[in-house]
Amino acid sequence: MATFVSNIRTLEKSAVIDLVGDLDAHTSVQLERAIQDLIDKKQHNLIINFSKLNYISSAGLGVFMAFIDDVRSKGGDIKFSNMPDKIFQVFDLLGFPMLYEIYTDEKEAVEKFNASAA
Amino acid sequence: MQQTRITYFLFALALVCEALLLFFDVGLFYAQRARFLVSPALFFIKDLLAVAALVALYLLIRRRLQRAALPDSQLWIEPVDAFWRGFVFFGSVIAGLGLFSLLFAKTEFDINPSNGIWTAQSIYTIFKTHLATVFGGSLMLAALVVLERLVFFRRVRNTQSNFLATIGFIGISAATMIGGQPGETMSVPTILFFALAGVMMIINAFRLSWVLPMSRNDKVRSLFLVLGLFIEIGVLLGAQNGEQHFIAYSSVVGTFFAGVSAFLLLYLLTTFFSILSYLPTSEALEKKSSEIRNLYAMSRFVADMFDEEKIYESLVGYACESVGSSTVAWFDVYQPRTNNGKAVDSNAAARMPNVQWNDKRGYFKTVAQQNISEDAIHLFSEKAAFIWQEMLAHPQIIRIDDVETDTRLTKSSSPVKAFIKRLGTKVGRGNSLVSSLVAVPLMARTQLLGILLVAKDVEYGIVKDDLELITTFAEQAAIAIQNSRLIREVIDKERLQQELLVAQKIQLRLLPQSPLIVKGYDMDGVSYPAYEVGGDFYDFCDLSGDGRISKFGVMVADVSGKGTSAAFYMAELKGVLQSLCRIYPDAPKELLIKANETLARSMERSSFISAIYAVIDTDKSTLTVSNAGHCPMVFVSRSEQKIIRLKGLALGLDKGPRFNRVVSEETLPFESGDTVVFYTDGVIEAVNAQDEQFGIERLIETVASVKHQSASDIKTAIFNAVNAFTGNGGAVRDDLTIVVLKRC
Repeated sequence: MATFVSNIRTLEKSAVIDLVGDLDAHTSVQLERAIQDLIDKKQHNLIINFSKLNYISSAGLGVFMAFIDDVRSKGGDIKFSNMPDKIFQVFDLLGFPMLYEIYTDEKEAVEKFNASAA
Repeated sequence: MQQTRITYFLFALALVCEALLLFFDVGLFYAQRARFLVSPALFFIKDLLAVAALVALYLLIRRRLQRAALPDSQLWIEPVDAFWRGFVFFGSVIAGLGLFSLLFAKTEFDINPSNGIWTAQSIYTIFKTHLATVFGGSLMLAALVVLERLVFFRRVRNTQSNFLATIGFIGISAATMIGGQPGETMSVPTILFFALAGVMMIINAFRLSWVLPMSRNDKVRSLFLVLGLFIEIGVLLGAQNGEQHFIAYSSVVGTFFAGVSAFLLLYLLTTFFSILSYLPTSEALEKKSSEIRNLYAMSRFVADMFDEEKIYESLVGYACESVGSSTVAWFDVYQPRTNNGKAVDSNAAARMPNVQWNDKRGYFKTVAQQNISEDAIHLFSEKAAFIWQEMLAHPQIIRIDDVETDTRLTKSSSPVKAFIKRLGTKVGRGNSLVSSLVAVPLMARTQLLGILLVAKDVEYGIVKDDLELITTFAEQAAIAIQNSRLIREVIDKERLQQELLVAQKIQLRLLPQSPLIVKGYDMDGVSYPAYEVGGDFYDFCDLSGDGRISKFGVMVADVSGKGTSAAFYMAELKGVLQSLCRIYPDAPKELLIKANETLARSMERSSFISAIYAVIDTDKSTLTVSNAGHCPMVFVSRSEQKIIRLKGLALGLDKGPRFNRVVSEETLPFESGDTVVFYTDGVIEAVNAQDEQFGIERLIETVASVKHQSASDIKTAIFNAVNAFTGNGGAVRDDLTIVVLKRC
């Protein structure tokens, strides 16, 4: 059984979700719940940190698709950061870089959020 | 047959003896009148006849009672019933004898002052003697049988011998009187044995085990009947001179009856006081025994009750019944919410509109109630909302002894105010149903299932015993509810399994049964789902439309997610592909653009499909490929091997603008000996024990090493290579699809 953990940190006005382990069809439900909780708390500036993620399946990618319209319509965004090459290849293959902003470091994403809020 | 014959014999015996006795007595009367000297032997014969009649009568009555016995009853006849019948029969005999004395004068005896011997006043005396003995005596014998049964109830080792000793002593005492004339003084042995019998009677008279299990009502009735019987027997023996007539009938029988009636009176006396002393506690006793019954019933139903709503109803019913009269009870089931705010069981919610408590975590609903209306529950729950709140935070028993003064319910706890308030409720709006209450949580390990609330209309109405019982019921019901839920879960799981099976069948039919047969080309494909239902898809389509295939398409796709929804998207993709491929036979890019338009409209936002589509033109010997976010195609020719990377976006992610901007296509020459491989991420993302991925490089090497073999062999070689790579400890994490196309 794949292990997966998502930890949430608050960085200035944004929430950073650290993904650890394998994100597949089973564990994606967990991430879905975590993101829903943040949205319920009116947190719409979401940064997903992939540095510790080992594997992502198509169902895992679907989680971000499920929330992106909702978050953007509320003036927020989901931004990706710290992607290992392996993970980036999967995103790149499907064309996700065209739909999401991807940063090498989460700080850039935070600054981006701060700038858009100002 | 034998039985009836014995009955007839006994009846005849008693009748003949009685007739002879009557004959003797009448003769004796006239003989005495005429002052004939009567032989004492005559009294001897009379006693023998009387004893024979008595024994025959006793046996008859005993057999009759035994035959009328209730099945499985040690008592043969219910005590209350016996007392009632005895009361009526003794009453009738007394009335009959009284009437006889009234109609005929001089029915008693004169006593000879010189020797104390009695002489009948008239011939009517003889008749009264016989009437009294036959009817009164029969009743005495019947009473003796009933007495025996009562004494024997829950017998211990000495019970039977004690009883037989009593009867034996009475019998011996009576036997010593044989041949005596009526009125003769008792001899020393007679008195001695009678005294012994008396001692044994006292021992027997305390065998009253049958009193305790009687219901309160029966005890009250018995009390009066026993008193009545006592008086009646006294009247029969005393006021009606019954004892004198028994002795006149026969001194032996008379003495025996004297003993029996003494026994009877003593027993009635102890019975009376026993009932009297048990009466105040009998309600408590009844309650206890009903508690035990209910507990037993409750534990039985835990084992075989699977309908949750029935469990709720029974729980409330048992709780009400056990705590006593004017108890109300209801059960609030707890429904936690899932993370997206939807109730777990929205169906159940629709059926039960009476929500008691509602917040973000979940809500309580009253699903069973007894002796109380929904409105009354609502009224109370508004006042005592803290119960439900507390239960959610710390599930434990909550007890309110007095609703009016409890500080958790009312701000002011002044007893005077409470008293006035209580007076107000009693005089004004009628009695409040809830004055004291306990709330018991039903737990399944740490999870709260619901709350059982039991209330009484008096303050301090629920005592510790009640609470213990309610808690036991609650625990039993919690187990039953848990069982029923587990069973429902299993059923649901099975249903899901069935659904998956259907999806699996659909999916298998969507994949091509066999590759296309195209002259000069060799192709093969395979798809292994990681779970029951995967998301991978491949297809071949003939684009030429005439018999000779000069143009055909190959598609490999991966639907995000798994299971039933993936199978349906796959079906949709196949439909879209089959309808578009003939419209755009030369333009894979156009086909993907149109497919994206259609799919983006209908697919769920979180789902998408990565797809690669290639068209092969056999006349021009070209292969044109376009990619929508799928794994790149591997191309291996005689001289080189390469990966054809194309920009693109998966189907269903974007409604059109972005997709159309980035999607591209490339046309390659496709010559003899060239091989292309399409695959899904299951191939390159398969990992070994060291968590290394199989990767695209290994795939190319594998293909290159077997490029001279047939498409089918290449396919198998790739599959074997992936399996060998994952080996022990590795895993193919996703569905695995391989399609190989080769120009011979």
